[in-house]
Amino acid sequence: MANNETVLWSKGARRYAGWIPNVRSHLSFSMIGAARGAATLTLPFRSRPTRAVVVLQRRDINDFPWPNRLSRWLYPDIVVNWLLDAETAPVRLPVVKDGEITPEYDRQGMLRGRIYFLPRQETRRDRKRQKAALEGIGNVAADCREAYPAGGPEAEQPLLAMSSTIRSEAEASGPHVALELALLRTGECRLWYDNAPEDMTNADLDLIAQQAYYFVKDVVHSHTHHDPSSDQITPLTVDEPWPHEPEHSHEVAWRRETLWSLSREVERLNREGGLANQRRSLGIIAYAEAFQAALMTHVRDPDADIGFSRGTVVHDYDFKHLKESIRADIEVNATKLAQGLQISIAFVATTISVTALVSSLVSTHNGGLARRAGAVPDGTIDVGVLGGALPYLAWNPVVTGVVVTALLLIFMSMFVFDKRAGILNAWQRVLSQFARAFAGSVSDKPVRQFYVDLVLHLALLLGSMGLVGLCLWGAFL
Amino acid sequence: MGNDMGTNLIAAISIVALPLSIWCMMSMAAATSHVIRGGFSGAREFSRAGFTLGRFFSATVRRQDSSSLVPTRAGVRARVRNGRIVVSETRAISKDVF
Repeated sequence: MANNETVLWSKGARRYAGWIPNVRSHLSFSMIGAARGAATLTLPFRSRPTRAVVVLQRRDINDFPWPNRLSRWLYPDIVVNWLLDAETAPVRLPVVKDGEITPEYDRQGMLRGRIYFLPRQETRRDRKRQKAALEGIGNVAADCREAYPAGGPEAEQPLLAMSSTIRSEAEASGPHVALELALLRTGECRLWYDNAPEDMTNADLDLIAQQAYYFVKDVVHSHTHHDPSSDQITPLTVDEPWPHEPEHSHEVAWRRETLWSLSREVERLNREGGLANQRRSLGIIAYAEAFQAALMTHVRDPDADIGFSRGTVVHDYDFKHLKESIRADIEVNATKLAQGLQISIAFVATTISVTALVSSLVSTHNGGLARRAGAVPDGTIDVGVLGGALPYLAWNPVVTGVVVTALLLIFMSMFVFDKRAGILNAWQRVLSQFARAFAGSVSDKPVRQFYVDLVLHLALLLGSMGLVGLCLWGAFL
Repeated sequence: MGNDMGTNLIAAISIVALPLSIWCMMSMAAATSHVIRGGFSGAREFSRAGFTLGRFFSATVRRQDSSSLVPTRAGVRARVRNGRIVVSETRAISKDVF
């Protein structure tokens, strides 16, 4: 029992470790799949303290700059089906009390199971067979869900037989890769190959393991502080020999890499600036603190009596002072933003009100003058440019209103709004990334790249203004 | 009559598209401002990440190394060929980066 968790993966042909981010250090296995669109079954056995978890997800990771539907048509092999079949298992969690590690028993502290990587099959017939297998897996899960509420030993029979049926279906679906999973409540995630396919290189196996890790992350936790499809803040680290520096073995290395990655993300968000980014960075720090508290205190040690020893090699981060620094910066930026908004609003409001006031005074003044037929009254006051512009402004008041509003919104978008607070969107990111890539292609000098990037962005801005003009023309002319 | 209907249809489409086009315009204004604020150092980060048109269109952006502040995201292309599983990685700039 002493080292039972470590023994699980220590014999694996190729092993990996990563962390599923969670701030409570207490992942909920019953909530798996709730956050993302995966077909999920998670039910507790009545006859024993165990929960069965099955997740089936079709993942099409589109890294091409085309709409998803077009990318799927051009590259049908970006669609991969993933299956997780697992059950909870008892585990001992290391808890530090008075400087000593004390293992505490958690009867459902680990999710132990198998992940199937089901790639696009070669022929139409093979793909039909895979599709039928996936439907079969869905039906098995549906039968379990249907029978379960009745209660009693008979109602539990489908659930007891579910795992072997599902695995048989997956293995009969065609060529596939199977990985083993051990996921602990702390977020510690172990993946390994019991039997790695002989015709695949280590690089291929690593690639599939990384994707399996993203799949697990995707279905286990809800994505916060980052785009859901870009969940690569915490890395999956390969367990490789490191003989020249044994104190930095894999047990230390994956923890260190995870903490460094979180720290790097905090740095990136703060360098990019903007209030939204800085607040996100505080969120990432919360996760880093949780990781530091739950997993940096110890390492797994097969030679230790209790299976763990104190983790003392990697220096802890001082997140308290980092948070204070970021908060101070947020206050400064929020003050600047508030002042900018106040000045902008005051400028616009004063301009409009003074213009309106003077115009009305001029009207009042001119209206009171003695009039002679066919002649401009003596003492008439001319409103200058405003008078000249009046025919255009009054030609279509709606168009005038929209144009002025659009100009105001451009001004606010460029100078006042926090750029990351929800204005930027998917298509704009693709265009901006195109501009960045174009700049990187025409020159390798950052100064020139900046100007090329800027010119392209200005051209795109003018293009979008033209689009507004076109809509106005269509709507009101 | 037909001409009126066509004009009305264009007007209706334009009225619906107007707020969307204004939103697009605001996005591009914000993005332009972002480029200006990022300045040369922002361009330098992308330059160090080796981000070019070829890599952008073929989804083969370089893996983010530990000194890079341009995050990437990875996907996989996987198919069975002659009974063997063939996999290759796709990689793009993260969607968190504008």
